[in-house]
Amino acid sequence: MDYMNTVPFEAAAFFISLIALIYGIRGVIKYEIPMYFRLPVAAVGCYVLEELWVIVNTIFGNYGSFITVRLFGVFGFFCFLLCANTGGIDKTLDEDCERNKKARIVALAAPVLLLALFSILTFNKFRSNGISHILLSYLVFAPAFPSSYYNLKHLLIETDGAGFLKCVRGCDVLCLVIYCCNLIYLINYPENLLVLIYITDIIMALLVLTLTVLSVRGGKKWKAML
Amino acid sequence: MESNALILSILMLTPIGLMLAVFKGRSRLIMFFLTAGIFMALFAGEINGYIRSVSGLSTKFMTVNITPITEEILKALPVVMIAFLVKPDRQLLLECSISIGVGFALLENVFIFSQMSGASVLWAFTRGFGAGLMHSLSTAAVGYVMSYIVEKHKIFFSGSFAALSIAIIYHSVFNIIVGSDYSFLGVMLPIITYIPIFIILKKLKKGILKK
Repeated sequence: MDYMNTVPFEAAAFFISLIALIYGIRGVIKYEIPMYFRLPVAAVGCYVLEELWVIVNTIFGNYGSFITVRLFGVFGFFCFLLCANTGGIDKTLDEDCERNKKARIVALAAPVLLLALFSILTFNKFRSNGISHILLSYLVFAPAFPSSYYNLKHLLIETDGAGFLKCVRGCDVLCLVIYCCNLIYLINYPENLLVLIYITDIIMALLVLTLTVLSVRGGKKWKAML
Repeated sequence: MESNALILSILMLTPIGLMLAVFKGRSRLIMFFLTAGIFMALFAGEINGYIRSVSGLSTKFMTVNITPITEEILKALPVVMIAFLVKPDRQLLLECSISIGVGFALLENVFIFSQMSGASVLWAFTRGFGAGLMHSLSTAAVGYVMSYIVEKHKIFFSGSFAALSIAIIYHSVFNIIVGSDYSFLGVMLPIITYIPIFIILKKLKKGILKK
């Protein structure tokens, strides 16, 4: 595959996500938004660096292999989202009370479904690429599984009186979409399915931009409630 | 014959190490982490050399895909140590992280210079502004994230991996550009990153950086 063909798409994705990062940093500084909403901006930073790596590598390095440092971009992105979902925010929203028990159980469906989808796609696509690709893909995608649980749980638990949940629900939906989109990208990349790589590249960048906008807005709303 | 890196590190570490007894408080801590950075550079050199000899990977592949991982992990170790043991304020943790990066870059640059037959002033500026800044910024990023997560045990591991991932990929981008025919462009990356960070920090020093 001629990876040079991907450069315009990667560059477009890079610039869209760079705009998202600048907007996010501006929002973090200007509104001093809480930690939960800062972390998705940090995740966007990781994504921007990943895109930059892909462009720079295609132009200067030409390491066509799937197993490269680029995977740290995906991993870091997921880790930041996991951080955002697990800390104090979860305690605040869930409150460990009885009425959210059902939501906690149903939310387990998210990582299970994601894992199942991931396993089916991986074993199909990676059969030719060997066990190292499968293991590495699981490792890279690992933070997304627990993170998806928290995202779905926040969507399912009953709205609290203060209305904090309304601030985070947009981000939660988007995170779940991002996991699915990244799944497609991660599966397709070594298979050289160019059209899918182009489409997922641009879609991911747009999703990242939307995530930043929702994070900043959610953060502003949250701060106003405090 | 002893390795050049070892000799150079002894030359650097001895005077700084001796003077640690004279320094006090904040200055001592920062100087200590400067020596830690030099020590980690020495250690990283040995580890990278070992991996190269065992794996048989090309130098170019190593510098893009392996050395950023080993070097950033080694640089992050003292940051984690100080974050847990000393529990400093955000500013001090950031300063110590930068010291580690500076120390690391110092030995790396001097070692590369000692291996070269001839180097120009332009090369010195390129390495100083490029690798020097890059190492400092990548470790500073780890330190900055660490300052937020050190007391939050639930997100400590995911946060540490996230911070490391950012540092590794940033380091790798720099290494790819520096290793290409357009190495001068590599200098631009840390400078482009440093200038906005410097301006933002200057403006918000009192607001965001302090706990």
